[in-house]
Amino acid sequence: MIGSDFEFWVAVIAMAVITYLTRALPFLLSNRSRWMRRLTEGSALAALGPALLAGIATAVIVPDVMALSGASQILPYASGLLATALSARRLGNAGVAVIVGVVVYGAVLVVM
Amino acid sequence: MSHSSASEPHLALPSGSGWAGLKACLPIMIGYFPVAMTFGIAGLSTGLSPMQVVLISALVYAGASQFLLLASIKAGTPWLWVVALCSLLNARHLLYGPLLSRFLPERLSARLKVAFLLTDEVFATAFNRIEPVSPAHRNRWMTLLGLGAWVTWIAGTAVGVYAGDGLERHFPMLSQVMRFALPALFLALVCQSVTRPLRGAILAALIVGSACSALGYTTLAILAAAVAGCVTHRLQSA
Repeated sequence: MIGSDFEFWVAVIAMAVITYLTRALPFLLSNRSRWMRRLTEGSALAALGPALLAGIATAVIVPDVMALSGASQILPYASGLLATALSARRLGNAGVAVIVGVVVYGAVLVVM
Repeated sequence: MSHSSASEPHLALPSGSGWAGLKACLPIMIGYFPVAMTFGIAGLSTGLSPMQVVLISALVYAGASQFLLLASIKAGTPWLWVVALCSLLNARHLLYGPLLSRFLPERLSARLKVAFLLTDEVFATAFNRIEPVSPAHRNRWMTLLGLGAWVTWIAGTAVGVYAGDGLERHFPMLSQVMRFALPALFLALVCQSVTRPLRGAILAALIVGSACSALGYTTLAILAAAVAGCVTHRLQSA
């Protein structure tokens, strides 16, 4: 059990090292390795990046949506998402799209 | 939007120079701050000292793993289990390095520094926005993007630890509105990555990811969506 101070710090340092290793290990592989080539050159894995983005988006958005209840929560969230999506497609700038989405979400939340 | 033209090259800054990386980080900063604040408040409530909570954010720097740590402290989970679960949660990070690799400098030391800062949000923003940055400025751009997010995460945790309760009481709606920045950021990045050849793959990833997330398996959702997207793309290309 994480009870004592010592065990707490062992757990924190182990988690920090593991997190760093999962991010750093791929960089230690040679660019010439077959795995790296398959990931970076055109193949079925060309879709990996955009598919990962889509996966992360669902992991962030779906639990939020599942927790919404009533029009006063659903409408601001849906409006914010719609405004973000439209801005991203029309303006081509993710930063501006996020700010537009947050403003619309906040405005509808206040009105509701 | 840039309106620089060939007739005024002396006015045009090379893409990615200056503080462009920090500017690209702004949506992440807006989204990170309230989440980190929540972590700070939750950390104190589990009986940790303010310094312990802030150090977790500085050293581990992985939202899901940090909240898992707090839950484990509350539940009294053996630390080996916590470390094993953390490894599973972070398995997706293994895919980020190879995808960004071609945009980063060849020097291993520079890559290993950037690796520490490679969260989901930093990866997603970099993957979508680093290509137009001139190769000479990519390291600086990426470092500023990552550092901006990391410093915001630590600052948000510190504010949560030392002033979080009061802020949440006085401005409950502001915190809620700022939290919307993260879902908005990922939606915007997905919308921008949709191209005609990848439409089917992204749609398949969204469907599979949504199904897994709705069932409560959010980490699995990311990996399953990646597989679904690649398989669909392969079937379409065949």
